[in-house]
Amino acid sequence: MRVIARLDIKNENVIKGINFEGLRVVGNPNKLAKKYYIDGADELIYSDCVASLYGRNNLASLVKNAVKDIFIPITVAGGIRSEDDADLLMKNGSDKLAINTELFKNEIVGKTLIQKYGSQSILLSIQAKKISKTSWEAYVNFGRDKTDMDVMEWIKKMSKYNFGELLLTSVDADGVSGGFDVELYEKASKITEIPIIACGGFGKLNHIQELKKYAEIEAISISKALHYEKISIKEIKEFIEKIND
Amino acid sequence: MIKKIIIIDYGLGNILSIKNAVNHCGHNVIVTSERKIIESASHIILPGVGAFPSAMRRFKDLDLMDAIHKAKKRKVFILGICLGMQLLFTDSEEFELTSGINLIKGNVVKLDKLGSNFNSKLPNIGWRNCEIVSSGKNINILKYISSSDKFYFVHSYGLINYGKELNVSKSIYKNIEFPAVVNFENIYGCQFHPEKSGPQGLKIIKNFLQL
Repeated sequence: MRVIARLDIKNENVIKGINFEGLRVVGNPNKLAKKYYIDGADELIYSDCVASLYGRNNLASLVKNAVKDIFIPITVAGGIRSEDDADLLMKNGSDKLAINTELFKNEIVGKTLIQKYGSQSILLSIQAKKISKTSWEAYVNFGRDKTDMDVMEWIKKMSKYNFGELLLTSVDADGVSGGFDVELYEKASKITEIPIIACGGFGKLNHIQELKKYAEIEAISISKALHYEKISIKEIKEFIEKIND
Repeated sequence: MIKKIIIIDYGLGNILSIKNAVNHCGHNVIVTSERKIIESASHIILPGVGAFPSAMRRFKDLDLMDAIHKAKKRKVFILGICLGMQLLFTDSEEFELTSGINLIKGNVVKLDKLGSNFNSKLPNIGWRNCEIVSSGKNINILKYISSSDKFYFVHSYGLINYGKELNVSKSIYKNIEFPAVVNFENIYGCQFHPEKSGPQGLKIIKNFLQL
């Protein structure tokens, strides 16, 4: 299981909230990114939190600077609407792009980017909000807006495009540090062959064990616990190695 | 001899990161698709991300086949990365059977064909060791690499049907063994991304540039 450090970025600062709200500045993106790289993160996710809302992604120059001395894969998410947006980010050193909001307006953009950059570089990003014991609704614009789309239906619908990975974020668990939404990942991993990145909810090591018990998950994405130095990437990776034995 | 390090730019692959990695190892590098410049190189890096057929199309459209075959004859050091490694071989079955650059004999097939009873997810994405099983001679770009070092892989296809002359260091994904680092004469290939594999990946790039 890979450990991914996630940076939610607004106006060139890393921010973090609870359930995607009450956002607070927690640091400088590339300083944190460098730290997580040195600490042994397997990958980084740069997510532009206001990009979809304002119709732009501002991360190209930030990523360009980051990749000068960070040599692990970087995924960029947020506000990628067109081939031009994707080209700019890829040219500036991004390895993968994660798309959510635009797919609800124009799903062909997913197909176009997969054809151009290959499945392995294009991720399907879904923000899932629990609406009943067994169902979740897909949200867009960084967890702000409803789509009336059932998450499992959406995963099935999108599977025809052959996305390389599924970045599945639980809006309810995000920033709460109370554990992953295990049922969400259990259900999703049963209906799709796409490798899943579980995002949102990590608070302590046992949360990983719990998740692993119910769902086949290839990677976990962690932000708050790392930003607030509750735990180090090294400790998380050692724990994962231990429970794999 | 003065080193002239070239990254071939045929529009695919994270060229900026490879360039940064070469710079980080203390070398200058030229990113180009110009045949003349490529023909004067001492070290050529062939990047690659994406699909085999479109990569070959771009490579041929830029009229680079001749330049790289000449480089092989001149004993230039060549390093193919990920798809760039696969392109060095005879052909690939990705989407449709497509001829490769064919500097070395071998076929590229979907990973599940490299073993039996494979029922895991593809692509193989993640960090894995690369010295699980080896055949042939030790590969010198793996100098100072230990069996506990891990590298970042992201691929669905792997190399098969290569000749005995190829030196191979294998990796393993679930129950599939596949070539992770290959070497024939002055030609090298990494199935993983050394430029995305942290300090241990940079070591491999450094080793290559010191040849």
